[in-house]
This record gives sequence, structure tokens and C-alpha cells, in this order.
Amino acid sequence: MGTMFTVFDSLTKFYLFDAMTNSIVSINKDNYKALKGYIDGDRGTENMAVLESFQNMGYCRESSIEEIVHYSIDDYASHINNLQMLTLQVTQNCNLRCSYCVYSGNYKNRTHSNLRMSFDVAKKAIDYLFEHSINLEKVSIGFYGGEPLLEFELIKKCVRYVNENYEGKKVLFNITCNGTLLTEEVVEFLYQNSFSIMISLDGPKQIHDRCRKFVNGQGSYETIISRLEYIKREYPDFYRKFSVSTVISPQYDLACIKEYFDTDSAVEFLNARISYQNDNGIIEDLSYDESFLIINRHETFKVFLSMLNLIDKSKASKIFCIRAAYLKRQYKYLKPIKYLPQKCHPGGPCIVGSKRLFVNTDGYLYPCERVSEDSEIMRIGSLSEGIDIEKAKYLTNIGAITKERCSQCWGIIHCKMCASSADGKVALSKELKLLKCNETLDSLIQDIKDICFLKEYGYDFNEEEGGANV
Amino acid sequence: MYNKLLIFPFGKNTSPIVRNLSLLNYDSVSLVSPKSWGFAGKDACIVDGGDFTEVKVSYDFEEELKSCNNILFVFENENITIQSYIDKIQKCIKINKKVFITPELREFLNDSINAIYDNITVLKWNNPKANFSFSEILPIEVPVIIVLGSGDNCNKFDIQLSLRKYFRQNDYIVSQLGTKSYCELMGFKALPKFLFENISLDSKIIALNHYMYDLVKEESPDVFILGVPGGVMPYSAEIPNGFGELAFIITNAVKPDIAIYSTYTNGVDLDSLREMKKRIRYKYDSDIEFINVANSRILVNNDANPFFEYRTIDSNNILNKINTVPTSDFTMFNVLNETSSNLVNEKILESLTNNNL
Repeated sequence: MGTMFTVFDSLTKFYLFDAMTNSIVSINKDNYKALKGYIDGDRGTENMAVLESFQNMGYCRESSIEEIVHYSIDDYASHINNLQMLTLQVTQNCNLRCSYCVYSGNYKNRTHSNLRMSFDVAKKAIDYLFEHSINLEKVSIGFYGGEPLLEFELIKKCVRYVNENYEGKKVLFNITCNGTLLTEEVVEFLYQNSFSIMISLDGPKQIHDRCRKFVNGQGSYETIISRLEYIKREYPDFYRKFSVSTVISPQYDLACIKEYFDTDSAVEFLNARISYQNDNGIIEDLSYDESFLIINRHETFKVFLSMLNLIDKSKASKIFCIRAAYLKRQYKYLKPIKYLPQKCHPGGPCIVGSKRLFVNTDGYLYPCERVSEDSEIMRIGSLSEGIDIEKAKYLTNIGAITKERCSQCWGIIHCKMCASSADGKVALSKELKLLKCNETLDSLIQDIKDICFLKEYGYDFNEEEGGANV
Repeated sequence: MYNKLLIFPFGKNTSPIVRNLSLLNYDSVSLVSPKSWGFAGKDACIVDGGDFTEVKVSYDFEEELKSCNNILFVFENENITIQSYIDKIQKCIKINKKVFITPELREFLNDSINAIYDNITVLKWNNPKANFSFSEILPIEVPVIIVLGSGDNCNKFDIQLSLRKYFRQNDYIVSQLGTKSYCELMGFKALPKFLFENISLDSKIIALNHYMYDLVKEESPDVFILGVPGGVMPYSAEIPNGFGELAFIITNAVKPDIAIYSTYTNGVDLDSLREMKKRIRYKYDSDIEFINVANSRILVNNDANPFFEYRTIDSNNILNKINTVPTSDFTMFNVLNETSSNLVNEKILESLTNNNL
């Protein structure tokens, strides 16, 4: 049986995290040892006495969770009438052949193809969005691929269709592209329609071109940089709103990437976000060596120092500052509660079909663009037949497949696993999901440790401008 | 002459009108909202989650305009442009339709409306001349029903209208102060404007009490229905609900005989409701006997902007939830289900009658 609490230490202090009350409690070293002993299975008299003393204070109690069920299940129809974000896969084709792309053939997913979305399918998807966003004052429409700008004409038609038919609701357009097709005409159009743009750029030429190549094998760096320089010159304000997605592959030199984003004028002012290569559904194992970890922790530590105003903000690497923003967000979810309800669910999954909806070129519906289109269980419907509500509920209520573990897990509130972590292709896989539990809990405890460390040194998470340069 | 009212844009603010058409001096209504709102072609109940209304929402303003002689323009949010409103209003004026606009829309349109101001009727805030020189509270010698709630968007106005309709159908004279700026259209006044102005709490309390006293003298009602805007207390640290200031003012100005509390769907468990009843008793000296479970669920999402959203919940779902909370501590109902609300209205009448209404 698991415990609904855990203990950990920062550099100087010891803490208890109690899931039943979502509370972090500062404890002394002896109590830390006793509770740690209890967690590790030592039921000695001393450990039990310490446990009892904390239970008397309202902590470390046994789980009272009787049922693992997502709160949306009872009134699911109301949730899928509040769709926030539609993502259109306008093409499955791409002009690049990046080795780590989820469509490269190295993943259990579809591969690149010539399939394109028709305007008829796009219109139906857009109609679906507005029919199912009844309580929302704003919605988002994203264009995704493949490389979506291969279908620029279709994108233009979609935007025109929205503008001509759907006044009265704020519509935010966004596009995730590789940056190679940002021609003058394209940029002017995206600017006029206030698009949010995310481009993929992995770092300096020697790194970027290793994985991100055109179909003919030539690197794409020079093309992207020339496009960015044009935008920076002609649309300086628009340029500052661009986001850059940087995928860190195990073969990359992280220090070099960091240096590039911190110093190269071609990418100054851009909001760069790093992510590590996706391992959901990957065929060969991914492993990052020790040097990645060292640089990561070192740079994250510098971000913390800048948050604490112990070093100048300019000394913190901008690609690591995302950690500061993330921790600020996490902190908001660490407010103590009276008690976990008897009916409860892990915090991770969004409501399938409500927050996001991904429509592929053929008009089939998926929870988001991150799941495999080859997975039968992830296909939640079609534009012609709508969402299969029972299937969407099943994917949302993912905690039910591991209810024994979840109802006894101290990480339940903050768990980040969604259906994509348990994609068994024809059904959700309990085994796959359980495999990720330890990783999820490790990451959660690191978040809590970092928050405690920052608070110990005086960082004020409640302050609006908390000092982080993010 | 056939009297038909067109409401634009039809949405959450105006959905109570559709369920209480008999309170309007119109034979029927047309409802128009932008296509992007997702209501068009559906029964008006898509907006509030209640029983079917048998009125469909359209997005074709010009088509609906043909059959209507009066047009009510309201403000829902800033997504409909000023120009779009002005174009529509001008079309109405051109073909001699009578145009009403709410005070909130008047503020939104600002100077853009100056050129056509003489051709429209702006509904007014209830702005009585208040006398702040008194210091004593006067007795309101008529049964008072008060409608409180957990926050915005929880069917408080639906409850106020449902009560009005019921009492009037049973030939009672009703005085009423309501929580929407268009109350005037429904035949009663909105809460007086001084409640929202920057004056002291005790001045507001005394002024409201005296205002109600004068209304009772003037209208000689059998019952007085009062709506309380916003929530009775902070919903959370992020949603302070004005700290229940208006509930405090109103319940100090008059002690209610009947208090109704409307809660979001997410508040429906016996312990929380009992706790809320207790808190309202001690904070506002009001004993909650009736609890409406609203067709609204509030969702707080720290990552989103705005960080809270509402979900519209179907009345059948609400009634199922109510059935899971059997209690004799209070009567639970859903105002958007006619059977449920009638039952409660009857109980309220019975309760007041036993107290010599």
C-alpha cells in the first residue's frame, strides 16, 4: 500500500509533502528520518510514534479516496460544448526530413505522406469549433502539419472563412512551422491576421543542420535565418512575438545551443523554449548522457539565482528561464486544501474534446496533435459523426485504469500523465502508464524541492513581477 | 397590432426574458446572436441549460427584423464591434422600428451613438433621489423574499422572475428590485444606483431601507422580492465577489422573511451546503430555506486567461444531482425546470401564507 505523503530535503531543511491536504510542512531531521523510514517499510515503534503525532496534526493520514473518477464525467456534454482550441492538420507533407520528427518513421506513428486537407473538411472543422464553444468569448485555431505553410492557400481560405462568417468571438490564429516558407507574402498575411507563430530552430547552423534537413539532404538553417532577418528588419514588433521551439536531441551539444540563443543576434528577442525529444511511442530508446544533466542543473540554478536577485538577470540563459515561469505556475497549485474528496482523479489529463481538438487531413478527430494518429484508441470521432463521447470519457478518466495505485499515491493532485502516456493503440494500457509513474513522481518532487529552495531564500511567488526574466 | 420583440445579441444576460415572456408586454420574441456563439438554429435553452423554451435562436438579424416592431440591444461582451451595433441600430431606425438599448450598452457605445440618440430609447439605471440624512431603519411591513447566490452567473435573476411570475399569476401585488439593468422592461425596478456608488456602507443601508419603505407605501404590495447581485462571500482567494458587500448592505436594510440561495453546480454536497447555510445565518441574519442548484459550473484554471470559466449544465443533470443530496435542512430545486421551480414557489407561498401574508 502506498502512502499519501512523502518527505524530502532541500540544501538546509527537511519537508513533508502531504497529498491529502496538499500541504508542504517544514519538519526536523529526526521526524524526516522517522517518516522516511516508515515510507521505506520500517514500522518500528519510533517511526510509528512520529507518524501518529503527524496524523494527530491532520497530516500523513491514510487515503480516504473511494473512487477514482474525473470530475467532468457526470456532465461531459457540457464540457465538449466548450472547445477552446482547434488544430487543423492541413497537410501530412513536409519539405524537411528531420530525423527526430514523430513522423520520420522512428516512431509508432504515421509517416510523411502527400495527404492534404480539403477546404470542405477545414470548413466543417471550423463550423464544429464555433458550434461547440458556446460559453467561450475566445477560441484558437491552429494550423499544423507536416509543414502547414505548404498549404498557404488553404490557410488563407480558412482565415477568410472565419472572418467572413464568425464575427462576435475573438479568434486567435496560430501556426507551428519550420520557418523555411516564411516568404514576404506569407509574413504579411500572418502579420495582418495577428498570428502567433512558433518556428523550429535547434541552435547554431552546425547543430540545426544535423537533424533538420530538406528532402534533398541540405540543411535548413541558412534559409530560416534569412527569413528571420527579413522579419526582424521589416516587422520588428511582430518578430518579438515569435516563439522558437528547440528540440534537444541526445546527440546535441547543449552548451553550444545555450550559447547560441544567449548571444547570437539573429535570434535575440525571440522567445525560445527548449524541449527534450519525445519518447512516447519511440521505437529505439532515447538516453541523454550525464553532461546534459549537469548543464541543465547548472543553468537552472543560475535562473534561480537571478530570481533571487543574487546575480544579474542577464546572466541567466533565456532558454532555461522557462523553468521559472513553470515553477510560478506550479506554485499556484500548491495551495493547502481541507481534505481530498472521496471522489478524486489524478490532475494530469485535460478533458478530451474540450480543451483541444486535432483534426487530421481526412477529418478524423484526436485529443491533440501530440497523440499518434495510428492509434485506434486515440481516434475519438470524425467531423461527420462527431465525438464518440464514451471514448472521450474513457481517455479523460485515465486514472480509472490504475485506480489502485492512484488512490494511494501522494502525487495524485499534481500528476501530469494523460492518455498519451498509456497509448496501447487499441485500449489504454495500465502497464505503460505504470511504467511512467516513477518518472512523474521524480519530476514532481523536483518541482516541490525547487519551490521550497526558492522560498527558503526569500523568493516571493505571490509577487506579480517575481524577479524572473521570463 | 402584433407586438414582437427582437433581442440582440441573445445570450446569458437575456435568457431569463425568454422563460418569462408573460411579464413582458409583447406577444412573442425573436432571438438573434452571432453565428460564432454557437446558438443559432437551436432552442434558446442552449444558453442556460433549462427546459425547452420552444423559441429558436437565429443568426440572421435582417430576416428576424422583418417580423419585429421593437428591438432590444444589449451588451454581452466586447467582441461585437461598436460599428456592428451601430449598423444594426441604424437599419432599425431607417425602417421605423422602436429601439431600446440597455445602460451597459450605452456606456460601451459611448459617443458613437450621439448621432442617433434621439431615435432610440436608452433604458435608465434606477437612479432615485436618495436621502442620506436619516439614521434610523424603518420597518418594512410586508413579507420580503431575498435571492442570494454564490457569485455571478448562477440563475439569480431567473429565480427573481420566476417568483414574480408566480405571485402575479396568483393575483398578489409584487414590489421588486432586481439585479439586471433591463428590469424596467419586465415591469419593475432595478436596484437603485446609489448602491453601486462611492458612499459609505451605512448611508447605503439606510438609504435602501428608506427607499424600500417609500416603495411599499406607494405600491402597497403583498410581497417584496429583492435580488442581491454577485456572491455572498469570496468564492476563492482569486474570486473575491466584492466580499459580499452588497449582500451585507441589503440584508441590513431589511431582514428577509424568506431567503433563497443559489449555488453553482460544483457546490452540491450536503456538508458544504449546511456550512454555507450556517455562514449566511450568522453573517447576514438570514435563514436559507431554499437552495437553487444553478445550471452553471464554475471552473478555475490558473493557467488560463480569464482564469475561470463557466459550463452550462443541463437541468436533467441538475435534478439528478439534487436527488443524491436528500436532506430536510432545506428544499433544493432547479429554477430552470418548471416543475421544480413551481413546487418551490408553492412552498414559499404556503410558508408566507401561514405567516399571514
